[in-house]
Amino acid sequence: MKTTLTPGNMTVAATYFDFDAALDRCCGDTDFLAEMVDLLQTTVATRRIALRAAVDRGDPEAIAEVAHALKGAVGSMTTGVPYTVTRELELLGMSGESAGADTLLNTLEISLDQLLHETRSWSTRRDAAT
Amino acid sequence: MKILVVDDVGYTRHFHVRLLQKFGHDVLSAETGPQALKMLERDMGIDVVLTDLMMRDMDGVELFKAALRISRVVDGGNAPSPVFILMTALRPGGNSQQKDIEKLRMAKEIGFIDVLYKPIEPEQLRSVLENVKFARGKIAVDVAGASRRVTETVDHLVTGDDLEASTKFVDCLRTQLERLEDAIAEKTETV
Repeated sequence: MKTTLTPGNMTVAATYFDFDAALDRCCGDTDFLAEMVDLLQTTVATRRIALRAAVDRGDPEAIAEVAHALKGAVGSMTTGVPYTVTRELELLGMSGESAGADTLLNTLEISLDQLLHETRSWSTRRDAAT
Repeated sequence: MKILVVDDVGYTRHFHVRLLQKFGHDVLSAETGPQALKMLERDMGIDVVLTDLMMRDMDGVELFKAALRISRVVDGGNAPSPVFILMTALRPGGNSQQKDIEKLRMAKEIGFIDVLYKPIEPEQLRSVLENVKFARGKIAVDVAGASRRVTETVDHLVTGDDLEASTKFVDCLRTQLERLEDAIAEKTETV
């Protein structure tokens, strides 16, 4: 668990959310980051349903495609477990395999919940402070 | 500059649009290659195309090749071709398959001005665009577009078997190169 001091003295305790790197990517603009955090919530919600469906169907091509899209969004906030497992799922799908995808997806879903919680917490605190 | 962002992933497309707007550019976006082509056909003012490599209907390299065939004419003559920048999450030797590595290699050869690896660092993107802006302001003629067309012609000749056309093209290039060198020498003496 790492702790980051955010603008406005809002301390975020985060397992996955790399606030500093995410803010850098948004040129230090917290409004821009808050916008991307909002978009992350809806993007992840949609993609994880599609990913679950692809894994249940045992469809490697769809697994690779959805994981690729999800990786772009998740990678803007963390290089931790949510990102690495998404990448593993993409690589698995690209190799034409789907065996083991279910286990990876279970791990991913838990870590995604945590990432969404952390990013949402930051956003809520920021809204409250402004 | 007017920049067209092409990416089939909504999140990353939105991110790059917002980033470029922050840099002060006029930004358009397209979700697919075919949609981008339609915009390029309609809008001769697009200076830069920032495109993802891996997209469903048409990938970034295919988009570039198709865009070369668009006739860009404005009142004052030919509009300069837009500069293409490729974005990709692929890493040569990393998570890439052979066909993807081949695409990356090809992108650099056929005329993409740069390949940026995701997640893109804002300062890196800003720097590439500053260079493009500088080059556009300084060079009235479309050197980037012309260079691309020469490269593509040479590609066709190298892979084909039309010896006569190849010889004619070499002669043409040689003649034009001599003219250009003479002009440069003359201007250098004057200075």
